[in-house]
Amino acid sequence: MSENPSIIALVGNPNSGKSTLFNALTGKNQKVGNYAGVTVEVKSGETYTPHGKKLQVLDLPGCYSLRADSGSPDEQIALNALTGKLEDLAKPDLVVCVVDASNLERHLQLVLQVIELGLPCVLALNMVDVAEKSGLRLDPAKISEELGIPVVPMQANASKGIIELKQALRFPFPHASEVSWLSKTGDIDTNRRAFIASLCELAARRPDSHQRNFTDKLDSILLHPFLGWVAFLAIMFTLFWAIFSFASIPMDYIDVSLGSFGAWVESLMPEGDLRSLLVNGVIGGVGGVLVFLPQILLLFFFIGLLESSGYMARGAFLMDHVMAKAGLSGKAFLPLFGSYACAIPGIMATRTIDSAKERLVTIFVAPWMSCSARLPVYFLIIPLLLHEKEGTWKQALVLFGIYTVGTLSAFIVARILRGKLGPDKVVTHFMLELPPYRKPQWSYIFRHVLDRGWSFVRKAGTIILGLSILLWALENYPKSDSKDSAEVLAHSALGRIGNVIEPVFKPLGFDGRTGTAILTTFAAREVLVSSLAIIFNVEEADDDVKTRSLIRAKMQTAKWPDGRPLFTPLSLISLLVFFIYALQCLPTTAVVARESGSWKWAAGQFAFMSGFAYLASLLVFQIGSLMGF
Amino acid sequence: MDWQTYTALGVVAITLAIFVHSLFFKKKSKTSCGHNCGCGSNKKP
Repeated sequence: MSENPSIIALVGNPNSGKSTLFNALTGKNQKVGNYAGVTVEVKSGETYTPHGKKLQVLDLPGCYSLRADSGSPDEQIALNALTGKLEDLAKPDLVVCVVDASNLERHLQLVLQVIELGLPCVLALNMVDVAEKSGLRLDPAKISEELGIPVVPMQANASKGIIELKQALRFPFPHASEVSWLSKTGDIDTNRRAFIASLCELAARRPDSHQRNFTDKLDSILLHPFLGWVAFLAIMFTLFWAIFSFASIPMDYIDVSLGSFGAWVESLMPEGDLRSLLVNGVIGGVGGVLVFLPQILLLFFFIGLLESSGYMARGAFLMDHVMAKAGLSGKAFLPLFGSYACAIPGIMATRTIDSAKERLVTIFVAPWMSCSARLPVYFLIIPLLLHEKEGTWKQALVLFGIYTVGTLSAFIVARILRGKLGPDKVVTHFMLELPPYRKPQWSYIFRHVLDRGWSFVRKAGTIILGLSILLWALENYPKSDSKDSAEVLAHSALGRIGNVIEPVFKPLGFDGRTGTAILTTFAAREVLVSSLAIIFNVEEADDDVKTRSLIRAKMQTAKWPDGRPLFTPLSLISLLVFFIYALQCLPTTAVVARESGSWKWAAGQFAFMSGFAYLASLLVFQIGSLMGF
Repeated sequence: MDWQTYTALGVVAITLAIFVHSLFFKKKSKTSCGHNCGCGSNKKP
């Protein structure tokens, strides 16, 4: 007998409880749910049979079928893993097909395809409690007899049936005896459907198929042509409001803590470059990004909540025909919606889109959904534009307009790009399962949130840390003898670049100082506020609102060499337009390169968005100037 | 230049070297995309 442990692979549709079973078998904390942001990876763990035999358990990505020509990475990886074509992974000795017992008709499609591969197979009939509550009368013995494989009824989230499943994992394991639906003539899909229909008629009977259960009743409201939209908008508004309002408390706390930490480090060291690097470069740079951690955690908490309860699929269903206007499917809704908080998780959530071209288009336009990092910039400029203090309804209206412009532009470009890329080689239909509403699994939601949070912190500690250090060097070298921070910046490499490129920014209504501030934002756009503070000699206050107010006062009095005011309403609108469209976030570019599998695609997106921002800003300023504004 | 400047420049140089190395010299498997995404050898069967 080989010393290597036997390999069992868990296969199943999204929302079948596959990851829950994986966790129950291996004791690991793989996150549950497959709708958004779930890693398209093969997770591995270990377990033991009741006789002490060690098994390697693979958790394959959730998928609806195993088509070789599928564009979905989930299906490709699942199929490659099952056929032993994945690097460093042997072909599994046994496959455990996990199905939602309350939705057998849908889930059995995948089971039949696994059996067709000729792999030994066990059926884990999960969520039997949900099925029984919905009035379904299951006959596991009959299902086993018809499919020719062992069937284990179970409830993975309550660890019921795990021992029975382990007892069923015997090695070597016999193959399924007969594949009756393949022996028939005609279309294979039709034969599979006919077989499943007859199997469910025999072994998964509903006493009164017309009886409406809780999910049906709730769906009659949440999927109603009018009430469904009211509920959808209310849920989305609440989610948005909660992300912005709840997150502000921990964000302020992080901001103050980082400020105190910086002050503490400053008090420990004498003045010098290393202290400046640590305080302004490392703590300031990484802290400026870490401050958004609460918003990201909250976004993923709500995503987990909506997904786990079953509403997310309804949202995607409702949005399908809206997204179709942009040439996208309902599955693109969540990634784009998530990008309002931060484009990085939004882009990562595109992994569940089946069509490769649609996924690329969604990744391409996601950064135009105004993310939360743009807010400090908007909060700085809009009150200056309206000559008001922060927080009036007029400013909220302008802010809403900015979000609308970004979203509409994203939809238009998506539509054009989708048309240019042409149809998929393989037609992918928007197939979405509407799972029954369930009580959220809090422990898994929190693990999912922590996992995402850690991933973000890791990024802040690596890529963003590195970029902050390099940006600090550009802002501080070559050294100037002056003590004036504005002169130091003007003498630095970044300041010199700003002077050189002033002719480039001048047609947009900006001088070299504003150009320099814009250059500093290409690593992270929210840096604009602190860059303008340095350029206009503003001592940053403890309170962000006060700092912005001080910067605005300086900006109002700033002038061109000929005495004209530097910031006019037109140049401020031009600046806003630039920030709506420019892709000033290097971590986003890094994530795009990883997700699209191509630095060329990421570079193309960066070039396009920067070029588009420049042209849009140029048009606004030049046309406005011609019209006498 | 004092010790703080030397140390700061050293940190910047090391950071730059790491960036250049990860951008241009990062090795990836011949049969996968190299991003640890599990895409495996047969991306295009």
